[in-house]
Amino acid sequence: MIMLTQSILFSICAAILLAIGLMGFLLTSDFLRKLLALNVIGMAIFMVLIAAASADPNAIDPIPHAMVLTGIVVAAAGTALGLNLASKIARFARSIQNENSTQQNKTVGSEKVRSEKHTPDGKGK
Amino acid sequence: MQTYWLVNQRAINILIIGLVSVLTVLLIVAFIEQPVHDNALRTLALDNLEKTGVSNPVTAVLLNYRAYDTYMEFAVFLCVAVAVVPYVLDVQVSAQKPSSESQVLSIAKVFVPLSIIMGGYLLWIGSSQPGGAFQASSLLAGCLVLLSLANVKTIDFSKVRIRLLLSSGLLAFVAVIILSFFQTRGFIILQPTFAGALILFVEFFATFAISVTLFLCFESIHKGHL
Repeated sequence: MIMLTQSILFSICAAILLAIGLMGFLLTSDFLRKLLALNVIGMAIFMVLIAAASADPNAIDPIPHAMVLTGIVVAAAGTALGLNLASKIARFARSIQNENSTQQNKTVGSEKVRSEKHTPDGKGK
Repeated sequence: MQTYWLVNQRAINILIIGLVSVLTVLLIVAFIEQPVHDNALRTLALDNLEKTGVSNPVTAVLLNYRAYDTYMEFAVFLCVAVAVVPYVLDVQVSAQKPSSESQVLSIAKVFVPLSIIMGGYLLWIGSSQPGGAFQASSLLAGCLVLLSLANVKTIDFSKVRIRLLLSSGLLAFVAVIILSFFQTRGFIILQPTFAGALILFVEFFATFAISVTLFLCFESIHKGHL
């Protein structure tokens, strides 16, 4: 029989969180979802560290705590940077789309003009 | 061609799901089977605690034992701030007046002074109890976010003094490293008599630097992409 201590329970939860995050990261192509999945993976890693710190409940290790403390803030900053980049990409894609559509309109319009020019007088009106 | 690609995609998805499940099962088995570690680092950290100048082991790890990590961390923050600033500067600051009946403003009026006091307390208590620069800075950043949501114009990131504030954490750390080099002739080796004061000095500036960086991150997403 396995001893299900608090540390092992949290580690198992972290493994499941890691699986959820990895699935989300690999199975979707959306930037926002990918970023959220990366955050979930980060949380899973923090949870592993915290669980490792309390392997012995009477002697809690301060070193993983310090790592997680700094990691949380860095994760927040990194997410902000990722969101900014994703928004920049979305804006760029939108501007390209607009450009394409206006170009299409232009070509359609010029074809119209050309066809009107080349129609014989009898069929025009 | 199109259907072939779709089938391929589905196969890849199934492969991904399979690999991730295998990894998860292996990880769970590894976590259950792992031997209990002997906590050697913990005893080492606690035995030398009186030499670090603080009595909270987490703060001691952050700013004395593994100060090199935290130093790198501050550099990362500065890099993120530099990378994010252009998104804020893109938009001109709107001249929206905070409306007096705004609920967010009335919440901010109550919570901002409270959380500033809490932040100062957390910063001070960090030497002996849970707390420190990171917690205090997240509280202060929360204050700034609340004010920003209430349309109160708080920080203009085009000012030089704000940019100095952004880099003050790293600058203070560099100053401490240079000072301690002249004393102990080693890289980030703090002398036990001054360690407490030096750690408080670094934490004080780091609090402001990190809180402004976090607020900058929020502001770039909130205001930069309207």
